[in-house]
Amino acid sequence: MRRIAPAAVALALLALPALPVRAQCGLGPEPCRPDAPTWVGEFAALSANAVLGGLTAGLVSHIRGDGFGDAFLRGLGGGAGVYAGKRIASERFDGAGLLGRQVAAVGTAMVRNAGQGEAALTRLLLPIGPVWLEVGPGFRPSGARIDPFALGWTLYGLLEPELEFDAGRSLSAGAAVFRTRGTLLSFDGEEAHAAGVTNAGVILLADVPAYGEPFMERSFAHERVHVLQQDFLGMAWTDPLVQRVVRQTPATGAVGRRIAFNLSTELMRGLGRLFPEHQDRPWEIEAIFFGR
Amino acid sequence: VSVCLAAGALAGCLDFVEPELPERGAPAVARLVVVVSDSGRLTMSGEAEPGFDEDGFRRRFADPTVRVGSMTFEPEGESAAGALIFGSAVAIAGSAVSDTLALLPPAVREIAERPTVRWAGAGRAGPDTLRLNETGGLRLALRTSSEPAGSPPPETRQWFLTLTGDEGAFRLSADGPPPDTIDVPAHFVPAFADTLQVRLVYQQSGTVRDVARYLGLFTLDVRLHWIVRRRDDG
Repeated sequence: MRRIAPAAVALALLALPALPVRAQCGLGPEPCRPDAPTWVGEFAALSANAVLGGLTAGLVSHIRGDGFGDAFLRGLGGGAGVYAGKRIASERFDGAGLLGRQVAAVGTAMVRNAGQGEAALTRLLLPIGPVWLEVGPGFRPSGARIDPFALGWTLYGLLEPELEFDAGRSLSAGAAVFRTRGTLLSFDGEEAHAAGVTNAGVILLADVPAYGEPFMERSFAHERVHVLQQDFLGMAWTDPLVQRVVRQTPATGAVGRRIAFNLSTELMRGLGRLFPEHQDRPWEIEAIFFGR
Repeated sequence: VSVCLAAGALAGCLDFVEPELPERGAPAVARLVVVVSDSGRLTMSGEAEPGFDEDGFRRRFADPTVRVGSMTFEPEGESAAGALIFGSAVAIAGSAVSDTLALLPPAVREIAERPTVRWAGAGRAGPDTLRLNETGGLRLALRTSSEPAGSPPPETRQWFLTLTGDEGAFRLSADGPPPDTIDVPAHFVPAFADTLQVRLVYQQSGTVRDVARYLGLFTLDVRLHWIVRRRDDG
């Protein structure tokens, strides 16, 4: 009974977000309803993030043999924290991205800790650019790991002549931001030419002056939400899984203590194949909602 | 430009795609119509659009004034799309219709030159009241200014003559500038009791394309008017 109740709650919560999200911003060809109440979308985003946090913690805990229920319920709180981070990160004030990213990171850590059977704030992972700062018990820094994928995309941005580093926006977003010189972006041959692309937490923005500043700011807010989505996937999904493998031997374990395995971009690319239409992807619906 | 990151299955191709901005680089366009009449009136109407620069931004006007000869015309308004709207009239000397007329549209920022034309005018060579000749026909004498040097002639030049009597009108037109003398045989002169109204419109129009990023579409109408009385009228 103890294991059935959380599962039932999870299913119910999973079903809830689908309806309001569909009402708010249609999945079909019909356009978004501008008259839909904002709270409906906020509730959908909150419940979706909470459920995702709960399921992540519950499944990891279940795999570890500690059961699903407790971790699920604690993960719900962490997921709510991720929602709060996204809500902050998509606001239009300087530093919103940086602040929201850290708030979401705390929420993600709560999910991760719940899955590991640890207290909510025992270990924190705070992403600063391509580095994940580790904060241990007592909020004492305990190390740092480098995200090679974020580092690679950052180096690419610095070396690519079509891009230029945007220091102000990088500081504001808490993530490396590069902007094009008047061109749009197309990632992996997609026909939809993007105003922005985020890979491993590195934002590439299309700077087309004719589209105007509001367009640029909306794209920037949209991409900041993707940064947080990728943080969650990297910290709560791909890194724990890969760490579980590499820490089987001392040699690979030493590597694992210095590397952050953020495969979020690749995971999203793989999941994206399930949604032929770019705007049907759940993470795009969420980023469009927050970034508008 | 396409960049593919060489990281095996983790790679992705990033393309930098020129945005589709159909109006980017659109030329400035001035469409102006000038009508001068030997009754002593000059009207200038039309519109001027600044177009878009290479970044897709609408250009701005450096000087919104249109110059016709020595006269200046300010815009009457501006459309929602940013075009200047012109439409005003001034009094001129009736004899000025035969002068060469220079037309200069508004100046646009970032475009150094402006398309301009200098077109010949036409006027009456004689009084505005005529009488039928001995055969019942009519002779109209015209005076046209010489072709301005250094300015290509307009693409289209036509003249239209209309004789309006009591019960109908006779019309005659031809391409090119009007001749110095137009003879209208008696059998083409409509019947009239007191006066015959004779009007001639000399229309010149053309597109000036030789200025980069600025098109000029100009029309100049010269309108002349005679009154014809019967030969035996006092």
